Amino acid sequence: MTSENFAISACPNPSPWRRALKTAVSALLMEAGYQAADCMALETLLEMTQAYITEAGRSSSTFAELSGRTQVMVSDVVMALVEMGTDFTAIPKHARRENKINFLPPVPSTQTPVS
Amino acid sequence: NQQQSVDKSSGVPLSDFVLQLEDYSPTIPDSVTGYYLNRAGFDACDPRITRLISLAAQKFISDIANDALQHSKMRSSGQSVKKHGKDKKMTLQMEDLTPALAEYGINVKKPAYFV
Repeated sequence: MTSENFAISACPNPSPWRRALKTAVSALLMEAGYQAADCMALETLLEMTQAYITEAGRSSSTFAELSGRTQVMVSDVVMALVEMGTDFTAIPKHARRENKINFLPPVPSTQTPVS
Repeated sequence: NQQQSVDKSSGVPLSDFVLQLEDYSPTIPDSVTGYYLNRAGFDACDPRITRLISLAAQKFISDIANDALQHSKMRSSGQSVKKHGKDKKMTLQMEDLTPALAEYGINVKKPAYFV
């Protein structure tokens, strides 16, 4: 079973990031136990993921600026996510879940670092 | 002393966990999260911070997907007598997603012009 079984978007030309995010959301749905998804339900979840990440970014950079920094630190992200209602105690368990799907295997870089 | 140990157990694992994210690849790729964070005015220079946000977004979507799955199982158990629900593929549908999202305080409405 691959993510190709999921419905293809009705939107003719989504941005490449949105397409990658769609694959990621589909992978998460498959982990949950789904084999297929209606286009509209998948697009709703996709839109919500986009909004979640954007809001987390906006909120954490605002927390950093409130402390007089431009560089965002982990504590700012934690403040922003807690404000959004995230339960941090459950995240390490989620990260170490058994049936994790990785659809973009990291490719070793062939470039040499510029020193 | 008891209070101190409680504070420690809630504070230390998260910072340890963020350090562990150095060599972790979330299901939502770093570049995708980074793109949406940059669009929100977040300068994502530390990949660990990007991964923490990816994980939080994944957890959010996974929780919703699990709730929707429970809804569809409850719905199908009522009508399992007349339909063979066992050999049918599990499909994410709006009618399961809508009540799951309502538990999170999110009201989804299908636009009238959407077919």
